[in-house]
Amino acid sequence: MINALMRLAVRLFLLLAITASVAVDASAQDGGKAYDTTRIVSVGGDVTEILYELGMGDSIVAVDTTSVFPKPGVSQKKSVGYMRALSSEGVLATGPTLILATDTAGPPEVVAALKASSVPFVTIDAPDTPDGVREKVELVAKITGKADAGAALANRIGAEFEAAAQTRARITKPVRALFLLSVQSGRALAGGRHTAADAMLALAGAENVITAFDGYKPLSGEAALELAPEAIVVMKAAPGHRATEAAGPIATEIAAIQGLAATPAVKAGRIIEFDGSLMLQFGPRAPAAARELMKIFYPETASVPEAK
Amino acid sequence: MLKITAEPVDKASIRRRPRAANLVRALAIALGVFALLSLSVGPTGVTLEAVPRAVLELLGYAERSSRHEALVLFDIRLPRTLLAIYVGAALAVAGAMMQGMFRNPLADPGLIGVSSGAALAAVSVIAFGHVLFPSVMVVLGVYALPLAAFIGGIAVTALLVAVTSGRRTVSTGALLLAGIAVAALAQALMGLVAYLSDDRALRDLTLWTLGSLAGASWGKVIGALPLAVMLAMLLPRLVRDLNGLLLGEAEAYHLGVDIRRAKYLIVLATAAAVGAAVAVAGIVGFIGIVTPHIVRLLAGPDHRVLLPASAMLGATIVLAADMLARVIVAPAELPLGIVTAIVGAPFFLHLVLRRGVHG
Amino acid sequence: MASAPAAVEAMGVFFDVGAMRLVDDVHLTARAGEVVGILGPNGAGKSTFLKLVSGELVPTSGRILLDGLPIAGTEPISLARRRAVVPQSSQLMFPFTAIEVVMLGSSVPGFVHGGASAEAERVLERVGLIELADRNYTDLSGGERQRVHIARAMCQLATARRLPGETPLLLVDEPTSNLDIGHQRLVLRAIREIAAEGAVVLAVLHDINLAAGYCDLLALMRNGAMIACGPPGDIVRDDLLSQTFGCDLDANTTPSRTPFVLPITRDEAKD
Repeated sequence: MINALMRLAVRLFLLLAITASVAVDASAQDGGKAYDTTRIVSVGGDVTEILYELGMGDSIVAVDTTSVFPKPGVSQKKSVGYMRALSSEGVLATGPTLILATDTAGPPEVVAALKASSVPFVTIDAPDTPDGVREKVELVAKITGKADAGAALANRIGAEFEAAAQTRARITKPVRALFLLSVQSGRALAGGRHTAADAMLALAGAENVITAFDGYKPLSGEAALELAPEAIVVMKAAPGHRATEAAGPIATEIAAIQGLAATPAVKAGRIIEFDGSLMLQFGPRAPAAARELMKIFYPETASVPEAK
Repeated sequence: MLKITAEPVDKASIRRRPRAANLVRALAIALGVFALLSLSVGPTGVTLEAVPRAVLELLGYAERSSRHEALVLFDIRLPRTLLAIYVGAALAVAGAMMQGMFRNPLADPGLIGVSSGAALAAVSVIAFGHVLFPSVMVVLGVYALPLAAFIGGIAVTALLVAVTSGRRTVSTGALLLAGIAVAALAQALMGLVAYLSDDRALRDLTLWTLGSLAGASWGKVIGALPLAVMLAMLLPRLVRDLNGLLLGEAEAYHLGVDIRRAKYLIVLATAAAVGAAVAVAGIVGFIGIVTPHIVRLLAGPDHRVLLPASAMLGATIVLAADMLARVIVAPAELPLGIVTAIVGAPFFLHLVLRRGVHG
Repeated sequence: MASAPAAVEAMGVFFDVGAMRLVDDVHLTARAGEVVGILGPNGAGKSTFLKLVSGELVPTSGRILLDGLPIAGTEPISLARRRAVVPQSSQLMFPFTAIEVVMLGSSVPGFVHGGASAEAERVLERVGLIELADRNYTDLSGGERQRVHIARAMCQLATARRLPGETPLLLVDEPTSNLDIGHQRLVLRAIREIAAEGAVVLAVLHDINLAAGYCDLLALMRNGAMIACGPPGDIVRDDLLSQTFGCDLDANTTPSRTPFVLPITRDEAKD
């Protein structure tokens, strides 16, 4: 049996070329053809939310662990694990007819194997901007044959962003804000430039105090003191919670960090625990996230009647 | 001539441990069984019965089935099974070689810097590859990382050996201490890389250090093949040297072992084997320490048995652990390194507490 | 026997470590069939000299010949065919059985493999350990371990395929230090037998009386230099021993003319 398998393996090397050419066929389908959307595996919180918004929630068979909204819909789906640690056979085992994945899905070998399968694999990728969100919506809508619903959703999102922009225009003095990805044992991981957090702070009319580095990096208490943020936004792990401006356990931890404790934000009690999926995924709820943050940053501005 | 008239002794009982041969046989059977299981177990429910259909499908004589039988069996499970066997065998044999050379049952391949070097290189590629060498990354594609890990592991080990080589021989003690220093340095540099990398790279980096065979592919199998062949050819030559070294370096020399050559070969073989294993699977802990330990308990420390038996047991353990990793949280999957550590660490502790490190 | 060619010949051997001279101009000639006992106080350079003869250390200057050929530059493997070494002490962290340790002696390539376990049993019988053949080495007492290593060295010499004209050489460093008097005699008799079979044996010994009783030649070392070398009757003398060991020693002879020394002097004995 083993011998037979080994011979098979040797023959397989010769057949690799065939498999490869088939893989090209599969990806060639991406050119505007209609896909079978009866069983979708959705990888990425933004993609999943868009599918739900388009009314495709029931067609989803499995999601990744970053898909946490809407509840309880996603919690009843099978989980294919973290989006950067997918299993090729695991994904195929859910019997998908279509795989929609954010461009951060991985590992690359698994994505390559999935692309080589007969199941169409489409990457949904766009920058973390209002236009980017609309782009993602339109792409998902086109692939799932929901162009009309997609256009409507994209328009609605665009209008919401526009409304947020108008509110933002009334802001005279931007709040200097600091985003913390995590606070653990006295170490704070802060969001620098070119992060989703940076983009969202800007949409909420705040000024990211960190301009000195890209990405998420540890921030010392002393540096935080020097940056003097007026508000601190910190990611709350538990999804589904609304933003609260209250002294939870995270706030206590932040206050315990020397330097951070002395910042205007902590002194004024402006520590905002915010839903990470809402803030960082740039899905259909991105305008809502911007609006909500703005409400917290500028209670007075937000109280002025909003457009629409 | 002095004749001591001792009681007649049952000659068979004082020959080789009778269990050794049986153990090797049992391990060979276990390895075969687990390899077949690994091919037939998975979340899709495709089993070996599908092989004939899948072959026809692959050759184009049959419709592509909706269950992706050919893809699952030949492109996902078969390379994964082969790599699990390689990784398990290489790590276990490397552990046995290191324990023999350092004469310490707790030694592991990390001592000669190969894991640190490979990890540092891999982590650097994850974090900076696309920024610093975009064209190289495009050409190498998914093989950039394994290749870098392999080269990094070998390079650090070569550096260590060069630094600690005296005129006559490699100083094992100096190698050990230098290895610890280099591991610390690599750890610091990895911290620096982590500090400089973005959120996404940071997550990949963490996942990589947990080890996984999810990225198994034919390309990796082909890459690991020459190393597997090299190891298989080199190991029989090292058996005698390793047995001699267990007695001590001077004693091994008295038995005709060319100490310098033996150490070079052992270190080189270990670095190559582990470098390739880390390259294809990331960091998979405990196989290198636990496996030779178990074999020694069952069949004694003779490397003639220890090396092949460790290779087979290591391969079997990794096959089993990988199956668990695939099935436990299906359709998602656990990192392999987590499974081996969760199962391996308590077992190792049990062994040490029950029998002592001397076996 | 004196007419036989020299099997081992050390000529003007020096060995320095830094500024320290551990072996100082040593000359020694031994022939096949001879057991040479090396005596001297602690730190006299006896073990170092033995390591030089084994090839483990390389002399700073001088030459050591084995069957007329210099050992410097000889491949470890071809040296191992001719010379076996019993170290002063040997640590083993792994659970080999006694017979497995002995059989390591026959693991040199080119050796007779077929009869290895039979030979291992034979030498274990010679050192009185056959009953402990399957016992873990790590569970043995110090004296038993010593005898295992003696058996291992015997096994090495017995199974090696030597070319005609190659003399087997056995180097032993204090083989009896952990042994009771019965096993001391057992081991030295076994060593004598090996010499009788055509080998030359260099043994570092502590017990002057044992050495005088079993060795053909005795060599006295002090501060790295060889003070005297000759038959026991010429060496076990008040003046030579007192000079070598740096204390007053009285030599005597048994009625069968074997010289001996007591650690207490006549003056003390009277008290």
